[in-house]
Amino acid sequence: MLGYAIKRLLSAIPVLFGILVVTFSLARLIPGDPCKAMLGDKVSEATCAEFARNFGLDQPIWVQFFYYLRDVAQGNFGNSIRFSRPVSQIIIERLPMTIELAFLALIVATICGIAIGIFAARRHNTAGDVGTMAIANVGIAMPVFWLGLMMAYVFGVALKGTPLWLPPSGRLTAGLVSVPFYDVWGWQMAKGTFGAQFAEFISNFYIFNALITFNWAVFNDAIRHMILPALTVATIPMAVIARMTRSSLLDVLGRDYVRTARAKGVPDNKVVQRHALGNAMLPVVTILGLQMGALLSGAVLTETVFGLAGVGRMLVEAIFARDYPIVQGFTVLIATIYVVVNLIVDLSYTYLDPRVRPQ
Amino acid sequence: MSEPILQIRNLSTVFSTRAGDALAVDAVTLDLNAGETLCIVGESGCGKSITALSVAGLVPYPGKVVGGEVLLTGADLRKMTPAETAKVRGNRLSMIFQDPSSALNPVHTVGKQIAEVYRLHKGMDAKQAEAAAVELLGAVGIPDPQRRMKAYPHEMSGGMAQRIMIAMALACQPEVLIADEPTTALDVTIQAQILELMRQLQKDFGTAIILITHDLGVVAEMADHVAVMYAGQIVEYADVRTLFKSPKHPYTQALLRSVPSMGASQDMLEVIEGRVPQLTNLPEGCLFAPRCAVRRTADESRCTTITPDLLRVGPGHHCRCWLTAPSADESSREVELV
Ligand SMILES: Nc1ncnc2c1ncn2[C@@H]1O[C@H](COP(=O)(O)OP(=O)(O)OP(=O)(O)O)[C@@H](O)[C@H]1O
Ligand SMILES: [Mg+2]
Repeated sequence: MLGYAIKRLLSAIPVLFGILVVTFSLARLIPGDPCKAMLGDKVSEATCAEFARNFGLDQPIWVQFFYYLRDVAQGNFGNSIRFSRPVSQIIIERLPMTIELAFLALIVATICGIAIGIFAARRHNTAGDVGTMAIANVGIAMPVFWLGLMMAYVFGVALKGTPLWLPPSGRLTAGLVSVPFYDVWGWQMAKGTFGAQFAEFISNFYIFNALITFNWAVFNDAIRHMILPALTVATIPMAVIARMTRSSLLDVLGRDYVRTARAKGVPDNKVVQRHALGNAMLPVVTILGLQMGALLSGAVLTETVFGLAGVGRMLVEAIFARDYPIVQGFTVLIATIYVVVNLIVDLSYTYLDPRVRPQ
Repeated sequence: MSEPILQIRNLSTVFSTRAGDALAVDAVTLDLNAGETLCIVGESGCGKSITALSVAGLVPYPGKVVGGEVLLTGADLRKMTPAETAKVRGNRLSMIFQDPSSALNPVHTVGKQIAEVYRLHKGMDAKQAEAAAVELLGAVGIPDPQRRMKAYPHEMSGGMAQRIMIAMALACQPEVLIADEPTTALDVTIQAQILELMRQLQKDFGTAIILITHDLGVVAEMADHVAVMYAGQIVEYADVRTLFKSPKHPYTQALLRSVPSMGASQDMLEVIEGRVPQLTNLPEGCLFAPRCAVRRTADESRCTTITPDLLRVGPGHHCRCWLTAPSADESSREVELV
């Protein structure tokens, strides 16, 4: 099993390499002179030559690629044009929020989606089944930004003053501060080291940071701020998962081995639990992996609607501002997350299905 | 003769389809004696499997048992609560199916699947159940049972998987085993082994078997009694000797003529002309009449107008045919089986 995991991990390397080739070429394919793009139209020839030397642009292309690989390996994605700051620093600041959002949404979508799917399948062809699936279809068709705006309006504005009110924007209520765990614990760290950067990255998971420092005021507030965005991001994947669970479970419930289980005297509810669910989850897990795409693109729109400073919103802004280093860095990042998620899906598959388990 | 252990009375099952209601099982009445084997034979689609599933209460959607009784030692399975039926299934009444490779759950080890029966019905804990399962695997002729316990169904051959199914079905030494074409999916040598195993276990445990097959060779080898089905109805019922020696129903006769018999040199096998009628569009009168060669020469008007009953034509021999029906004064002794 471990050997297989390592093998799968190694097989991800060519994929990641491919991603790097694509992002590297992306930067070279952008029309126009990179020097002018970065420094403005009115730079002199000399400055541009200097620029080319500094960034290794006077080297042969394969040498440039080698430099690029080296930089990426060191976590160096260059500097943002707009902010004149390292892209890696921006990632450290913004990625944790997006991961938090996507993770909460994934949990909500998975748990609710599977529960709804089971509910509908067990009431096959009754009003309960037809009703839930109609709602699920509406959920899939719902534009994310519209849903987000509606949620923000209903819970953030219309319900103001009631206990159901939820904050419609930001990560924390003004006045509350998320104090990094290393400051709470009084750690001294040299600035700029990998350890310090990693600690900063971790501390930007506000919910997690509040949890390990027992700061319940921030914990509650951060969660309350995440509820509406997470529900917004979760809606489409949840509906997709619910439909998949339902149809997969219905299919499995008609299989011979389920009939065998009944013939053995397994009570009805246990039949679903012991003999049908495990099999029915296989296609759902595949869908889960694929839904990561919906989750990430949902995060982009949702971050915009709820005024959250995550990577999704930053990426969109960077594209419009032609801030290529950010686009490039974030593309590598998102693609890597994708590869890792699919790796996890693959490995969980071998856990769930003995037929694809390596001997 | 022993008391019937299983009595099926007027069991009827309907499939509601878009084309209309199909009476897949039409008032089937059968008795199964303790320790005996009853074979049900008939063409594909005549309702053998659905009869078996109706007895076990496992009819798939959109089918529904609409009437009749299934008496296991006198208690009607159809009147039991789901919890009560669950206690009977796999314990006193078991089933095995045609395709062993799809009948086992692919995500559980075979050991776990067998042990589950003991845990459900014998109240054993995991350890005891596992030990019992290992012993049982040995009993059904699985080599190296200890190791096989940890195998998954996809790692087994069809014959091996069917042995597992038999082991599972017989774990609790049930009074009744329903086997729906247990050897059809297996190759010939394995077929013989599986049948032999069933016979052996029947002798050891005294289990009564309903064996569904369309292989008359299997019938000759295994059956004590035979029921012939056509379009959802029992058309003939007799002990195996009588049925092979003096079949009364034209359908049974045709069926017997359609198999090659050893010894007798037959230049050509007979095929039964025409097709099984659609259950949603049944002919008037006898359901076999449109295909019946005997009727064409017999000139009997009732064949195409009135459905014949299953009538007694000899000791323990019943037939659903106007042409073999006993004359009016005799017919008062009808429908009483055995
Ligand atoms: N799922 C279903 N939906 C609708 N009708 C069905 C369904 N299953 C069975 N039937 C009906 O019941 C009839 C009997 O089917 P059954 O499976 O009992 O036949 P069989 O005698 O076992 O045939 P075979 O030898 O092919 O196994 C079929 O002809 C069909 O009309
Ligand atoms: Mg069948």
